[in-house]
Amino acid sequence: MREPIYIKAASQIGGGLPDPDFRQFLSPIEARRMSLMMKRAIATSRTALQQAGIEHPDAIITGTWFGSVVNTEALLLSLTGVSDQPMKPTHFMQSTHNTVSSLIGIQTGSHGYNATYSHGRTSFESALLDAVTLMDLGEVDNALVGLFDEMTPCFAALLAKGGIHCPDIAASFVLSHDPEHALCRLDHIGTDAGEALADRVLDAPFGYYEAVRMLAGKECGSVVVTNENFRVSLCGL
Amino acid sequence: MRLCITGAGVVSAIGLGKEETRVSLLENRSGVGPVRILHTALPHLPEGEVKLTNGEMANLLGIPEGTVCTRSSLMGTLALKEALEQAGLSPEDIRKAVLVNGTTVGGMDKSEQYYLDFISDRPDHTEYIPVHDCGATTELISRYFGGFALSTTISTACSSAANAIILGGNLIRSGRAEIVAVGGTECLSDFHVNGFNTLMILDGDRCRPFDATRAGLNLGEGAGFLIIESEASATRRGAKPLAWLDGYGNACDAFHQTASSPDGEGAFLAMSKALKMASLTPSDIDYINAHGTGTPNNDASESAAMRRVFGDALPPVSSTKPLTGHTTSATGSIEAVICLLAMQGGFIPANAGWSQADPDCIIPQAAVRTGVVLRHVICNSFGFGGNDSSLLLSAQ
Repeated sequence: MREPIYIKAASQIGGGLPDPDFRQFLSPIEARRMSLMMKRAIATSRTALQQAGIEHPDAIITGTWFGSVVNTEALLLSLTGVSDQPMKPTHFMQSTHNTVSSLIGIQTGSHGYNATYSHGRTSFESALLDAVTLMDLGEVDNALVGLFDEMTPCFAALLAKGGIHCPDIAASFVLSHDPEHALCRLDHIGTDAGEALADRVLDAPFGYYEAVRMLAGKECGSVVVTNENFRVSLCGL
Repeated sequence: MRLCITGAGVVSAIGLGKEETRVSLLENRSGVGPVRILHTALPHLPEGEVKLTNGEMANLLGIPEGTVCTRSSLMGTLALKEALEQAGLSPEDIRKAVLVNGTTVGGMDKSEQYYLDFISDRPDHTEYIPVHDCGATTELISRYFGGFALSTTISTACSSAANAIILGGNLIRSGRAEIVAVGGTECLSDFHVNGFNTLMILDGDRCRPFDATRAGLNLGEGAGFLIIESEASATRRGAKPLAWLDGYGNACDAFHQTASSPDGEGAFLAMSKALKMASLTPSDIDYINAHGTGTPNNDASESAAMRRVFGDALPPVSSTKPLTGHTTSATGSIEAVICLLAMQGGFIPANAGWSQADPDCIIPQAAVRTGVVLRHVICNSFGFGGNDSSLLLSAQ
């Protein structure tokens, strides 16, 4: 990496961390039109941006394995006649995987780089790789990077029949070149094999928030988060 | 550092491969028409189908019957195979390269077909559950070629393929990759045909982008892939540059989940960024392949953005969607290949079906124009959520 990249803020729902009161982030009218995942995305994004003292991030990049499951499932139930409800335009408008990234863009009025990755278990690492690449190139000074997945009982049971388990998660991180009040440093992201040399090795996806928390609290000096062939090295300050 | 395009492949309603596509463009032949392959509840809507069944595509690729595939993976594999062969990449080159695919539908064609089987107490066809998500389609494509060093999937709706090309360019510029295979693939699904229908933006006739009577879009399907490498890599391999990816821009309209802003802010920023990156001025651009879906909203917004960027120096503009249909996630790479063919053949594809000017819209190039020199072209792709991206290609 050219210039050091710091993690300035982190916020997560899921993995043992509860839902906040969404009223502090959204009006009742706004909230009514959103799925739980969208509300969680706004909550973790706004919390992280506030912690980092950034109003309009230079880039908004998110990852999701299955996207807007609640809306997609509602559409599938209508399409296949399981439900006698007709397909609703709102469900379709909010069914694409980029719903969350663009929602954050709209909510924060950010016209910068905006992208969404959906590559199975490594969707978040893909988003992180994009953010780090943009920062290395000097295209952006900071980036809001997130991972958002939601399950319904029916969809989780369907996936289980195919041997797949996808956790519910909403996690947001602010990356920045600015070290002030940073929580830790992001030293490396890559798919290169080799020994993970660190005080702790954690698993994705929940390992990222846990790593930032441990490093910020000086519980250890370095963490490697592993996921399939990806390795992400984080270091305390 | 310049980004060198050394391979291209395409499949869409107007042809399998670059040669068929080139001929269709020159003859202004549309592939939009009655649906023959997709099982749809809305058969009266014209669409741009790839005129091959899944079985026919698998046969062309030598994929044995019964292999788990999605329609998007088959189309993507056909397009990528053509691109890899043109670039002359060895199996070893492929193992070191990065694959970036753009898709949104993913395996929805199979999920909608087998959904009732999936949720039943005695489930059937469960081998298709693991290929439902977007990334699985990318992995199916990657596996056919023996696997890439890294594969990933961008899903920004109708700008997915354009953003895949942008990520590929950035990976090369930052030194993380020397060679990338980038593009997108998207099949028609009853899911999104019906979804778009709920938004009431599908035209029952062939679409007429930028026309005063335009009444919506026609959906289409297909795939496009480019092989892009650093100039040093192309020189070392002795690969012939087809064109150069000199600029690109990704911006967010940040206006509405599915509508574009009246002033086209996102599109304006995307085109402006692409010009800046390429160190070019608006007057250097010889052709714009517009997003031009044919919806009243998109075409007015994109026109506003083009007028803001180009003012009085607007180059010829056309939307090729009346020919291919709107191929959603794949549109950015299919139209990038169309731009390549236009530059190589010295022609401007037609904006078919245009006849009546709309004061809110630019006047497009309605007929094919041949015998032109296209040095620099811009290719626009805009998606739901205001995910707007522009690519700038140079002939030399």
